[in-house]
Amino acid sequence: MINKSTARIAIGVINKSIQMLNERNTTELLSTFHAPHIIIAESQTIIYKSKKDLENNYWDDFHRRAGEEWHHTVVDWTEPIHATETKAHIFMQFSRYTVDDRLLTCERALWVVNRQNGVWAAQARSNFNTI
Amino acid sequence: MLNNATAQIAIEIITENIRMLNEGNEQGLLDLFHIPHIRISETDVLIYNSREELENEYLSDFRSRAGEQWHHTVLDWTEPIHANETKAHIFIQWSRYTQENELITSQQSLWIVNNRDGKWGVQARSSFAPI
Repeated sequence: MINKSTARIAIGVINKSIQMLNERNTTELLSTFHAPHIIIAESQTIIYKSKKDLENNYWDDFHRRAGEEWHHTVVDWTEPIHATETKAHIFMQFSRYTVDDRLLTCERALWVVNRQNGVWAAQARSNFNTI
Repeated sequence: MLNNATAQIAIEIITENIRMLNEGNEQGLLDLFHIPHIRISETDVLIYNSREELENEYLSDFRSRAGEQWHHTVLDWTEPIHANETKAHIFIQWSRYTQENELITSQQSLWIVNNRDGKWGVQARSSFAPI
């Protein structure tokens, strides 16, 4: 069950999200998330109930997760798992690096990307621990 | 990335969940959900933030979705997608039937089952529209 067009859109959302993260472009980064935005990590579940909640807390939470040494993130690969006309499950691996390209961590996550009111964005992520 | 032991535990949790639903065992059913419990359908997102919310709303939400004709649900198949020691993504299909075993609907859904504080439960589900 893979609608290739939707899978391509979803991967585009993920790539844009990481690019905006790396550019520290808060407005564009948060535009790649639907509210509520949900992160299911192995240790906790975080729910951003609204855009305001994202604006107030997302970066602080990210910096806590990524650490002070974080400089940029790379999408290593993406793998469409399921996709219909309005929703996709994309499995992906990302790596975090320091400013001098030293690897900090490598993680895998399933992103749920969907279309709500005509807008494609990430609704949720379910992460696995560092590999 | 497929830990077979975890995948088996997760499938047992899902199977038990459907059994409790069919038996009308509300406490047994809700015991199988972690808080917060998240449902991402194609049209909306439902988040139950406490046991009290689950007790007050889960079964009435379910009856609204399933309709008056619903009598029981059958788990058609399960497909482990990812699993490590503490978490699994299981893709499933279930079907709802009337008392006379007439098919009402079939749907596919990704269930996220994890271990929180030593207890296995369902953290979230991401469903696709009826097939």
